[in-house]
Amino acid sequence: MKLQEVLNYITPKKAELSWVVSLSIASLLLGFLMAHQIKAMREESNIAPVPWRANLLAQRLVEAQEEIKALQKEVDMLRSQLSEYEKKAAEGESLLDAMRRDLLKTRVIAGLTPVRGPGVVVELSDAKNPMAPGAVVHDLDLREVVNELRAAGAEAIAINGERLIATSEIRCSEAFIMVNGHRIAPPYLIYAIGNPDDLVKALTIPQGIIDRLKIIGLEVKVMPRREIRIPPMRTPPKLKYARPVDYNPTEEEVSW
Amino acid sequence: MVSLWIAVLALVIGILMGLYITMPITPFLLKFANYIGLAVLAGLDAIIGGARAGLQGNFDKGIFLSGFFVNMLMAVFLAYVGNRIIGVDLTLAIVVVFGLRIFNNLAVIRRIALDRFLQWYAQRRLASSKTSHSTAQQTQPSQTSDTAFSN
Repeated sequence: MKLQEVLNYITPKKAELSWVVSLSIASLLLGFLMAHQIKAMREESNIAPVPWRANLLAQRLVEAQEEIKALQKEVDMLRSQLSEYEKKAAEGESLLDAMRRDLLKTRVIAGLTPVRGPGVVVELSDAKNPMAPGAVVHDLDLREVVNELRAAGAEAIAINGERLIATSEIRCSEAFIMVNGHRIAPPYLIYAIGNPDDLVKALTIPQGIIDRLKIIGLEVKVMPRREIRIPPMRTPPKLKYARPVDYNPTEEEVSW
Repeated sequence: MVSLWIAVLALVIGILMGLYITMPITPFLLKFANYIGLAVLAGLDAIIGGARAGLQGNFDKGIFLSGFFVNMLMAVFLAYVGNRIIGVDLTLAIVVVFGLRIFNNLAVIRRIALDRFLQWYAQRRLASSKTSHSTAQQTQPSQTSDTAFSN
């Protein structure tokens, strides 16, 4: 094919000229806009690689859970060792005896040892009617009940086997409630040791916390018990930052 | 038919320009990317409609250019109004309508192209069978579809 023929073929006919020109101008503009769409898509994928991050986090969670299991074993071992030492120490002098008593009391307060005694069991579960305003139990509800129990003199509290200590949190984590870093699920059983009468009265006072929870539709039961058992904190918190200031115990403190 | 390739070339040049040249409106366009997407769809529809009209020989510059710009603006405007004022997502309606039109027009273009190719092929065979110079007839755009769209 001769060059002339090719050129003839390529050059638009006069009738086509306006068509080609306007189509090309429009195409140029469209291409310009498309390029910006491409850029926008790229930026979006830079900003939020969500699935990738979620996978990474899930993997870390699994690793952390395994680590927790291993540490739990270590804790159990050390604890049995400690109780052995305590036994041996108890066979010693009376000062040691007193110290042991103090230690035990401190451990009860700190939530490091299982305890038993009279108290109440509060059972909280999600509303039977899913349209109720408070269809599910929230972390806030649990916190309020716990707060009320503490105000009424509860000495040891646990939710679904998770002992509440000074550093315990009760918080919402997506569809779960976390206590001491562990997920708990309904029905929520709050065990509290204290004077059962006081505890029950504090909870069931008219327009008190139980009334409020019932009004929003939750299923609540308060059961006084002659004896309940509360497990210790599973993993005692590690102190990384807090240090006692120069500590000289007064007499009062020693006679705990 | 060749003229279509010129438009495609223009499209590619436009994309390269947009990718490598930063204009003052660039951040604005990036911010409203989900609305600009609708404008791109509307523009694509107008261009494909224009190409079809050109191939069928009833192209009108005024109709094409007004359709191109007004449809782009209206697509963005309607989507914006739907999102912010009415509270109904009109994006889907816009996508469906323009998508449908694009495919309809592409079908027409495909038929015309196929028709012309077959004509050209038949002529070439005719020419090669006759040793003498064949008087190649000007191929006429043929109306292959009974559907009538405006561009």
